[in-house]
Formats: sequence, structure tokens, C-alpha cells
Amino acid sequence: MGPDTAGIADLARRNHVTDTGRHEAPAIVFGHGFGTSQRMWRFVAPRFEEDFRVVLFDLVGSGDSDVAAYDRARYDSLHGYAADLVELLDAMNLDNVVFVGHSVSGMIGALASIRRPDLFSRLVLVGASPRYVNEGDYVGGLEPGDVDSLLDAIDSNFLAWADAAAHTLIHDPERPALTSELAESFKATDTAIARHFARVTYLSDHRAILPRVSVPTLIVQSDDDAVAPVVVGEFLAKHIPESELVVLREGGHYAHLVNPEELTGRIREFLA
Amino acid sequence: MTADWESLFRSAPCGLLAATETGRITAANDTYAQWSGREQGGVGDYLVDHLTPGTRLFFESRLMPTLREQGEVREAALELRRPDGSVLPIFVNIAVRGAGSALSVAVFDASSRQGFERALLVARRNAEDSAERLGVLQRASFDFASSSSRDELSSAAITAARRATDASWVSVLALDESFQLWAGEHPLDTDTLHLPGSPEAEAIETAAPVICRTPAEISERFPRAAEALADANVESLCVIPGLYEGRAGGVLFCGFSRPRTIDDAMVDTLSAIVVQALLVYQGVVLREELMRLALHDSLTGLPNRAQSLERLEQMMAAADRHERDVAVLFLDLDGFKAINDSLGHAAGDDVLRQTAERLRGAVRNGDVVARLGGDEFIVLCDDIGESDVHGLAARIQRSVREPLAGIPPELSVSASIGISMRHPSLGAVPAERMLDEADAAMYESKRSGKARTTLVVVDAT
Repeated sequence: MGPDTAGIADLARRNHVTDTGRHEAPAIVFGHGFGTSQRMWRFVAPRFEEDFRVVLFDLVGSGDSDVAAYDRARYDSLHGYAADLVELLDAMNLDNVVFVGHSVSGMIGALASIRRPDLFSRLVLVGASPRYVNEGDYVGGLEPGDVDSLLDAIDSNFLAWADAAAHTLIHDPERPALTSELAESFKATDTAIARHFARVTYLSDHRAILPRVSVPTLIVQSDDDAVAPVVVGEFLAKHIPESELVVLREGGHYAHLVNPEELTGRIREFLA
Repeated sequence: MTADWESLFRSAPCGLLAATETGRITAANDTYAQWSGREQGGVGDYLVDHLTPGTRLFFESRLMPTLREQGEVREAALELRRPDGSVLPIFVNIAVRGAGSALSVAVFDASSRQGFERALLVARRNAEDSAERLGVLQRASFDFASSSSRDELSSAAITAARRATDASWVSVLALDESFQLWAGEHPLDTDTLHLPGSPEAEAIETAAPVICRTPAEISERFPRAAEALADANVESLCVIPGLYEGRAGGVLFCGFSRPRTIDDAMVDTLSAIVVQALLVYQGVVLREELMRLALHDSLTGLPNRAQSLERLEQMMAAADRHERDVAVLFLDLDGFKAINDSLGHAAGDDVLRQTAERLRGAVRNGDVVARLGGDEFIVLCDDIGESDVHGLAARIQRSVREPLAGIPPELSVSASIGISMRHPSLGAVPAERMLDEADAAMYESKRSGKARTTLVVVDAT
């Protein structure tokens, strides 16, 4: 199947795709976590541009993606995001890519690799978790009530949240000036999507699919990550057949911001 | 630092903190120490470890990246959790300072304000949820009212249910012998759903909603369906039965690709959609029945004169296009009047019903049998040659002559048949004329004795 140019343009806009690095080289694709955007990879992605084709994208509903494409039924589970990723790689005619997924994108990449193993040569899961909430003997790090309390926090921080989200839009020189009315409607949409995405992210349970991941996988966890503690990384390593776990001494939930050198080094070692 | 400055820092009416780039506390004032319930304000701890889990999650997943990107966070609403378990709502401003990216943090007590705002938010969210549900139902009732067929109605129900739930799979299934998919998509083979052990069958049997909120609950309650549902990524589901004419006649199925809470409000909304749709459905069924009655003979259920003329016109138009022969068989029962006169109209009606049944059994697949009135029937045949039409007439003759149930053998009936045939090469003939020619041929048969068949070939002239 040849590249589908019309499809690429549509999907590139939907997911705000950034395509840099060496075009003919193997591709490395970065997926961002809940509440953020592809900009979270700004200290890591450039370090691969010399010897990789580097693809970044925003999940639909996040960052600069096309908010109009947010179909609540499609994105009521991570399967919708995984389907998007497969569509994107197919449209760009990419296969055997290295997929680096932070947090929720880790599971999105795992689901996509089960759907289409041919598209992925390696997975790197950074601060990922198959289930955030404790259940029985399983330690995910959160109690069920914590998720409700996160939703409350999103509500309580409606203004701060929305301002932060709108900030990037409004200050982007390449965009036409937004009217305040448009900014307001953007804020409302953004918060509604954030609440929904928070539920989908933190209430999902993907423990059962881990044994079906057939792609060699690197699991990176930080020993001070509050969202996805090291025991979760150990659980992933135990259940994903061909996997190895590395624990960073420092990085919190954002090793790619806090500790980009070490994270980059670990990924390169894994790919070597 | 002068004594004044130091005292201002120590006992300012807000908590003040300094922290490393990663949020480890390096200095804290007395106010913060007191509010957080920690000696020296917990210097050496990570700030996030002082927060309640929910606000910590919010801090980690949202504030922290914003802070990194924009250099500051203002008026973040968080909660301190003290070692004794009590909670203090706070507002926090954080700024990144200097080359080392160290953090300056100001903390304000927001107990009264956050409680108030929380109550407002809860009220607003409840109001929005109610408005949302009302909107779904209003839109649904509008869509239902403008639906004039079963399919339109089912699609409107699907749209409404999808809006109310964001479900990955929504379908409307009607129960006959097995379930039939009327609209939407169902993850499983619908032929198997009526069997005991499916959520749909249970909803029908108990006439109550079936709700499974987790994959574990699905495997426990419906082990037979569990594997197929899991393969389709269905992790929770909700089945609402629809009561029609006093019994459960179908279901609305919603399947979700993750565990869902499925609260009472959602079930109520779905139930309301089903009830509304069924009310309109009764009207649609009634209208379809009236339509059927207008075009069918009420005694035999066969198409009536109006309907048969229309069918004949359609048949001849199609036959013209494909250059096929068409035949019309016109039947009149011999001996019917005698039965009517001696045994009464009820017996006559019974003979007509039995005859209709025999005609249906004698004709080829695709032939149309109709009753014109009285004891007159017609059979319309597309793509039939002369020898086949003679064969058909002979079959009809035999089957009509068979003894009739409930009628003494001496009062048997037979058929006088007239056939009009049209070859496409002989030009176009109006449907009405085909009927007239067959009628005339039938009279020819009648005149020459009973149980005869006469065939005429009609040409355009």
C-alpha cells in the first residue's frame, strides 16, 4: 500500500503531527501522557533527530489536536487512541517503528502493537501503568476514591487548567488571534475532555492484555514516580513476555523533563 | 537578613517554601510548618508527598508540566494532608527561579473558600448532568416523533443511547425466534443471543435491566458469552429490555470498552429512551398494519385488486427490460355458489381460505397470487414459457379439486382458468389489458365446461 496523501494531511491535522529527523532512517514515534502534549518530549526527541526519523503527535483532545475530532464514544477507552496510532502509522507508510509512550501512551502503544505487531519493532514504556487503582493484591498506587478526588481537582482548577491550556494556543504566533469568546469555548471543551480522559486513563484496566504484547519492550520507571510506582513497572516486566525494566534514580513521573540525558541513554542502549 | 525580614518570612500570613527543581523542600516558614502539621515544614520531603492523593495526581499530571513549560503556576487549588489525617484546602502559587530552576512556593489557607466553591461546583455539575440528560431525551423524542418506520425509529434510539452513554457498541435487537439486529452494531453473532446464558436472554427473562460493570462481573454472570465479549474488548455492559404488548420483545444493548460505573441516572435515561421509542413504535406498527389492510384482502391475506394491478405493472416493466415472457392466470371456482347456497357464507369463506392456501402451494417461487373478489383469483408469473404455464395450470387444477376440509365430498370445487400470455416481441401491452384478456379466456373455459384452461397470446394490436 502506497502512502495515502489525503489521509496523511487529515491525520496530520487531527493529531498535530510533527515529522522531523532523517526521513529515510528508521522511525521513532513519541506519545505523550494525560494532561500534556507532545511538547513534553522537547528535551528528548531532538536527541534522536540525527539518526532517526522523529515523529511526534498529540492525542486527540490534547495539545494542539483537532478538538472537533473528539468523539466521546471512540475515546471512551484507550482502544480508540490505539486505533488512531495504527491509522497514523499506516497513512505515513511507517512500519517497524520504535514507539516511546509516556504514561497513558505506554498502554496505547501496547494495545496498538497487539493489534498490528508488524508496525512496531520496539516499545519503550516510560512511567506507564496497566492499572492505576489498587485492587486486591495488586498495587497500582491509587485508591478508587483518589480518582474522584482528581476529577474534583480538575473542576476546582477549572480556571487555572483552562488558562494554561489556552495559553499555548493564544501565544502561538502562527495562529490567528483568538477572540476571547473562542478562548472561552475552548476552555469549556478542554475541561470536559480532560474530565473524560482522566476517567478513561485512571479507571482502565489493561493487565489482562500484557501477555499478548509480542514486541521487545523496555520499561522505564523512576523510583520517585508517584503516579506509577516502581512496583507497577515490576508488574509490567513480569507480564510482558520480552521485556526489561530499568529504574531511574530520579525523574518523578516526568523523567523526560527532569532527567532527559539518562532517559535518552537508556533508550539508546535498548535500541543498540 | 535583618530581624524584620526574617520575622516577616517566618510568620507571614501565608506558607512560604523553597524547593529544588524536582520539588524537594529546602526551606519552609513557621506558618507552613504549622499548617502542614510537620516539624520545620517537612524540609527534605517532596512537596507532593504533603498532598492528598487526588490533588497530588493532579499536581503530577497537570501542574508540574505546566510549571516546567510556563515557569509558574497560579492559584492552583490543592489539599494538604497532615500526618494526623486531617485535610487543609490550599491555594498555591509556584514560580521557577534562576538558573538552577529552584521553586518558590506560596501557600494560602483556602478552607472556607474551597468548601464553598466545591459546593458550587457540585451543584453546577449536577445541573449540567441533568440538563445533558434532558437534552438527550428531548432530542430523542423529537427524532422518534419524526420516525415513520421501524428502521428510522431504531436508528434514533441508537443515536440517543450513544449520546447518553458514549458506549462503543449500541444495538437495538428484537426478539422473534432468535434476536434480530434492527439497528446499530453488536459485538457478537446475534443468532446466539437468545440462548440461555446471554445477558440479552436474561434481560428478556427477568424483564429488568442487566448491568455488568467489570470484566470479572461479566465472566461470573455470563461465562458462556464472556470470551467472545472479551475478544471484542467489551469490559462492561448494560442491557435494557423493552416491554411491548405486556412482554419483553427486544432489548437495547450498550457495550463499553472499559469498566464503567453505569449509575442509576444512566439506566434511567436508557430506560426512558426505550419506553419512548416503544410508544412511537406502536403507532408505526399500527400505520404499517393499516397500510397492509388497504392493500390486502382481509379474508385470505392475499394482495387485493389494487395491489395486484400495481404488482403486475411492476412485473411487466421488469419483463420488458429483460425481454421475458409474462403470464396472467385468471381463476374462477366452479361449484362455489352451490357451497355458499347450501352451507352458508361461513363455509364459503372457509373454501376461499383453503383455496388461497392451495394456490400459494401450487405456484412457483416469486409468482404472485391475489384475490380479485368473490371466487376470483389471479396468479402473476414473470419469465415463464407456454409449456410451463400449462404445467402450472394443471397443478392448480389438481390441487383445487382435492377434497376440502369440512366440506362434504359431493360439494367439491374445480377451477376454470384463463391465461393471457405476452411475448416481448409482440410489443407493449397495458397491465389492465392482460387482466381483461385473461378474464375473457376464463369465460371461454367456463363456456366449454368445467375445470378447463384456455390460453391466449396477447399482442399489441
